[in-house]
Amino acid sequence: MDDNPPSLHDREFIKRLSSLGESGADDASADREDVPSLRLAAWIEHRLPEEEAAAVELALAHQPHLLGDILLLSRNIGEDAPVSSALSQRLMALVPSPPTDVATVIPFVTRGPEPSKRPATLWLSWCAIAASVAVISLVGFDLGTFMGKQTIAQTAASDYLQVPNDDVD
Amino acid sequence: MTGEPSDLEALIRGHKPSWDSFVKRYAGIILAAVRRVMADSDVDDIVQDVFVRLCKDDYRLLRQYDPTRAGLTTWLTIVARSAARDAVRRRRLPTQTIDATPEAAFAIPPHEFEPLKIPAGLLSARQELILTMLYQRDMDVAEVAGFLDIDPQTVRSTHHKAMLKLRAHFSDQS
Repeated sequence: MDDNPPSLHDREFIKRLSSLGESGADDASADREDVPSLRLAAWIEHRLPEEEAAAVELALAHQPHLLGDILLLSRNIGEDAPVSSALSQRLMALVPSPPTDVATVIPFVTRGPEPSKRPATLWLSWCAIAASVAVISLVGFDLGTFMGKQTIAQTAASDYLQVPNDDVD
Repeated sequence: MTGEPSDLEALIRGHKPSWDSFVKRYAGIILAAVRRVMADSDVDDIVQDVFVRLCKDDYRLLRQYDPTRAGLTTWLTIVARSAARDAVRRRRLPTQTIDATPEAAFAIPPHEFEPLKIPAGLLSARQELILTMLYQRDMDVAEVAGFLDIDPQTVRSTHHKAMLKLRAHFSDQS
């Protein structure tokens, strides 16, 4: 058994092996990441049963990005980075505050009852309208008569003063 | 402490103060995890994306969490990593003419790890993973043992058995 693997001899062998181009993983599987997050987390914490762990380890061996990330992250799990207050506010706002339990009820503004008109008031207002119509009619008629008479008088006066054409000749 | 199952139950019921405490307690952890995966100016948006994932559809993702299987911090770190990876995949570089492309874009990219080319089914998953960590990631035995929470001697013996199988397989082939 090797005391401190990998030896130079082993490295050379693996290099030759890789140059043969034989691979158990197809090209598409290298990019495909189908290990559920919870299973991967459980594997990192060494909590998976043997069969499930084997599936994760096979995926890690065939997916270089995944293995690289897991190696990097597993050394730093729990590492905290300072979060800006703006980001923190954005994240908190993802879940809106529930409506408050005690709501303030604002009543609708209602109009007061229509003022009831008494019969006397009603009679008086109709009388006022009728009187207005009567006055306007009388004044209008009188004005029309006056204007008519004035027009007739003016016409008669102009006829009287007009000199006949044959007298001029 | 927030994040305990009792607090999570209240949070899932829509208890706003529990959500606020949850944000205060775990936003920094999620931010640190996202920063580990992607060094970018968009990390705040990714952190927000993680929290949206957690609370959307009536806390569907958060309801899937099982405290008996994994710690909340570990699980949230994995969820954050997944969101960050998705964001990296979604990102599309704008197309531009070759003349407008800076010279640096044509530089040889840094070494990208590829899976070891091991015949399917020849080795166990644990053997494949140990070889991957030793030969691809250049981890030493103590690091691998620490990561897998096993004895360094177990790592050595697993490695040894894997190499024997591989050599036997290829000597048969040749």
